[in-house]
This record gives sequence, structure tokens and C-alpha cells, in this order.
Amino acid sequence: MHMEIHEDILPVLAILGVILSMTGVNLFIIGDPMRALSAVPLSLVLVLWLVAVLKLRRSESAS
Amino acid sequence: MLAEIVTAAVMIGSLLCFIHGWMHREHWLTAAFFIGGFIFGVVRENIVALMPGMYSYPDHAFYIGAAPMVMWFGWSVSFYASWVVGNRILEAFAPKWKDNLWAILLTAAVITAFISLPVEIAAGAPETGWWVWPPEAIPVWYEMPPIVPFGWGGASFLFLLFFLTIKKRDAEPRTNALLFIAASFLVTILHLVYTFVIRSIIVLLIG
Repeated sequence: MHMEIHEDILPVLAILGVILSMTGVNLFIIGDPMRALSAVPLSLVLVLWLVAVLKLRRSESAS
Repeated sequence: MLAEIVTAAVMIGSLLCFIHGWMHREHWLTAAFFIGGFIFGVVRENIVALMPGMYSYPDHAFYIGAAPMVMWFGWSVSFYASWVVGNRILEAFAPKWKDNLWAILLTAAVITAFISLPVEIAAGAPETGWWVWPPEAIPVWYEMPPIVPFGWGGASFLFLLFFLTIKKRDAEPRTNALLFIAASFLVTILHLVYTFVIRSIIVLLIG
């Protein structure tokens, strides 16, 4: 079975929705950009997920 | 009206995660996951509302008792998304641990704890009126008390512990699904006990 990037895309979009909506409220309603730093750990999780998917695809195509 | 923003984000996320579960996992167990999350959210928030010195939800459009709509689905979408994303990260970077229950639970718990941060801090949940902390709560990052990431992470850990353990039972998926729905009441009580233990430890350490 090939690991495809879209396999996890719906839960990833759910997390991305949290990041975008919360930082959107931060920038447009609260107006304190320093609070957006709180979204950094969760954003890094999505970056790690993307790297994980690419790593798995590469190892599959190599085998 | 600001509460509708977080409610909409949760509802859209829940729909996406439910469709994902329906497409990739057993149907009965997917339904049980989200029904269990619904029970967890509604029962837990109604018990919390009866306790003194806890948070409240003053400015929402729809409630079941004291539980606003955002909490009906907010817990399960956080647990589900953390579980799926965490599993993929384990598979790529720690393949030896990808089937280890405790590694799966810890990874999902950390990701769920990270979800709590932008909800609580970036959007300033207490400022936007999504929920309000009592005066005695000790803030550590803007208005956020330290219990928040521990509370969310612990909820994810307990919920998935019961779900994954029951899912592995040698029984019909429908039986396991019904068992998990019943167990979600126990998860709710265990999480309230856990929250009070952690809160007491935090008060001892920094109070």
C-alpha cells in the first residue's frame, strides 16, 4: 500500500483550521501578535507530519 | 458572538475527522469515538458547572445544560486529529514504537496539549468569552492557567487508552463500540479526578 499525502489530510486540515482561526482571532480581534507564538508548537507538529509523510514515501519508492 | 468562531472551527474539524474515520476505519467504532466524545464533553462540562472555583462558558448560543456546543464535539476532534497525526509521525520517525500503546497515547496527548495553546492563548479564550477562569486561577501565559495543557493532554490519553484497549478486544465491532460508549462515562469521571490531582499538585508547586 502506498503512503499518500492525502490519506491523513482531513485531520490535518482540522488542525490547520484551528491554527488559522485562532491566529485570525488573535490578529483581527485581540490585536496582540505575540499571542500567536502559542500556535508555534502545533504548527511544528504539522511540519513534522509533512516531513514524516515525505520520508515514508521516499522509503517506499526506494524499496 | 465571538464564540461562534471557535464553534465553527470545531464543527468543521469534527465533520472532516468523522468523514476520515468513516472512510478509513470501522464504521461502528468511528461512530462510537465521536459519540463517546460527545458524552465526555456534555457530561464533563455539566459536572464542572456544579463545582465551585472552576471555569464557566458565559457567551455561547447553544447549550445542553451547562455544556456549550463547542464542547459537544471539541474534545473528540482534538483526540482524533492528534491520534492520526501522531501515528504517522511515530511510523516515520520511531517505527519500532508505532504499535506500542503507550507511545501512541503519549504522542497523541502531547499533540492535544499543543492544540490547547492557540485556543487558549492566541485567541485569548477568556477575553473572547469562550470560557472564563475564576479569579483564583493562577495564569502562567497570558490568562492561561498551567492546568490547561495537562488537562487536554490527560483527556486525550485517557480517552484513547479506553478506545484503543476496547477496540482490540476479540469481539464484534458493534459490541466494542457499545462498550466504549458506556466506558466514556467512566473516562469522564477519571478525567475529573485526574484534573483535580494535577490542579492540587500545581497549587502545591506554584500556588
